[in-house]
Amino acid sequence: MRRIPSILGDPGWTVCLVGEEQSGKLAQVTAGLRHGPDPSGSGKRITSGFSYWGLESTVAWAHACNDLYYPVMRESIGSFSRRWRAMTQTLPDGPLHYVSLGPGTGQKDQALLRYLDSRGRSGCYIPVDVSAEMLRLAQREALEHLHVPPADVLPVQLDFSMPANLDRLCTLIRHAVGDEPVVYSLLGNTLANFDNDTQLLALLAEKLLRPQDRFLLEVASTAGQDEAAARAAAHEYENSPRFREFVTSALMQYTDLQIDMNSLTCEGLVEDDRALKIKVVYRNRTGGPLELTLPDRSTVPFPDQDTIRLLLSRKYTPAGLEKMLVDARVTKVGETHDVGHAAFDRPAFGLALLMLQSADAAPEPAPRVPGPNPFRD
Amino acid sequence: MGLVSRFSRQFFAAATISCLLFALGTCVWWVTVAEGSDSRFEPVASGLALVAAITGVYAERRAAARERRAQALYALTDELVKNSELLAGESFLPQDPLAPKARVYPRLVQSATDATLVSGAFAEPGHDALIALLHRWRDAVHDFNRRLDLAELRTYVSQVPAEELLAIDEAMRRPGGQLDGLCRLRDELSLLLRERYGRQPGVAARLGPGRPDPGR
Ligand SMILES: C[S@@+](CC[C@H](N)C(=O)[O-])C[C@H]1O[C@@H](n2cnc3c(N)ncnc32)[C@H](O)[C@@H]1O
Repeated sequence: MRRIPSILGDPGWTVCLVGEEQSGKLAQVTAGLRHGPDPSGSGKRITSGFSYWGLESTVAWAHACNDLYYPVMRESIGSFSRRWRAMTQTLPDGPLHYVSLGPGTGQKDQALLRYLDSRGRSGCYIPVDVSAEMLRLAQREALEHLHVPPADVLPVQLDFSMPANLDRLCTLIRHAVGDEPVVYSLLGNTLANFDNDTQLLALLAEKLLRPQDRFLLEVASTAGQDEAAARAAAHEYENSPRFREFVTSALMQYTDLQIDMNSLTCEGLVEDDRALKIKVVYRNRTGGPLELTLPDRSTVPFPDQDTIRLLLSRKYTPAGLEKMLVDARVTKVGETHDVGHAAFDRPAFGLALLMLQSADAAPEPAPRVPGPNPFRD
Repeated sequence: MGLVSRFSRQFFAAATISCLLFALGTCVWWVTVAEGSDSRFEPVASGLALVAAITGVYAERRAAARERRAQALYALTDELVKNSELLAGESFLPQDPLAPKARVYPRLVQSATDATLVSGAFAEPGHDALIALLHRWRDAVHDFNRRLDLAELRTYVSQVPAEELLAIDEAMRRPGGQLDGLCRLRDELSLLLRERYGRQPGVAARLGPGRPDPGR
């Protein structure tokens, strides 16, 4: 690194730390697609991360974010700057390092880094993503017009849902920042894409969060919790052609399936009292059995009516969100709640932006002001 | 009335006594010039009546005033002794630093002091030092009692940590603090009573021998 400082000054280059074996990832995708038949959408699947892995997915995601028919993401990005500013008084003082878990297109990171830069408080910027292409895209977008020195930017390619990876990421971050406070972020409802979201949040908090750090979490929320609300939530995803391209892009990459967009369905379910669950599913509707060829050239039967789950998402109820925070051992130090594009005949869906802290960070004892002393005053 | 009220008490006393003495002189002269033993009875009787008037008015008033003073001194010394006992008693012992606790303090008494001040028992000239000291003592006791009220309120209305209980106790007892000032005044009063009024019956006996306990 020390030998190429002048090269780093050229914005055409990015240095990226690759934190895990990519071939192992490929085996993981294949394993997900080998599950047995299940017409309800719980068999074959492409797990979170792989939906974004690879150039096609990255480009498709960038397009989806700008699609007028997929307003959720667009609104989330557009209003982020305002929502983030409402949260800034809960930050620790002094320079802050920023670790963005799943930066996506980098627009939100741009808003956050711009704020830190304008206050003269920026430290290192460490975007972490499974997708190298996404990292490069995010980095370019996030740092546009900012004065962050190239040496303070450290993109890391790894899957942050694996405990061993988090240990290594943690070591790397500690080396880079020492004892200075870090703001982590997991934005764009990414948490909802994981089967076991609470467990992931708990893992991230346990492995990464020190008492001086903060965790910025953005999730989708719902006020209603009935079948109608679940259907409405599923509907939100169905409308956008760009979003359809995005979810099927992984299927294009890892299988030889002839993709028929009409076979794509979004299913809304009620998940206990904690969330509405949305499964984006590809169903074999050809009327006959198909065969999938996977990246390792092996074949998997794909019978009629069998499904491949392409994406999982959720909209959390306030109670569900609270419970998740308690279970993940984090406490809320700030929050904003945006009720987005609600129509009078549809349930109110919104976005919650939460500033979290490790629950183990003992609340700083309020300095004890000795009470009045009648024999002193 | 306007003219009369301008004259002082001394003026009326002098006028009365002069008149009485003049009348007594007249009676004495009358006895020497009276003819016959019968006619002497009258000036003698008048003279005796006048002597009775002179001694009755003056001496009786002085004796009554002395009695009031004696009573006030009894009460004052009693009160002083009682207050000294309270200050030296268990309720004012320093807090145990290991287990301080909120306490209800007894209040210092001041009714005898108040009564003495309003009775005018020491209104005669010559008692100015005592009156001045009693006023200072009265104010100090009142102030101290109020601070005790506040200390109790503070420690009883809400849960107060141990160090705060100790801080209040320490502040009360600090050199030059309220308790210290109060004890000094008490000693001053006690000394004055002993030296100036010690010969009055009961005062020295009540205050006990020598310098009083200077308190803590
Ligand atoms: C829904 S997007 C959110 C993008 C951005 N944060 C936003 O709010 O606009 C999810 C991002 O997280 C990344 N991601 C998803 N799962 C991941 C995993 N297991 N490890 C690392 N990155 C992951 C994806 O590559 C993608 O960039």
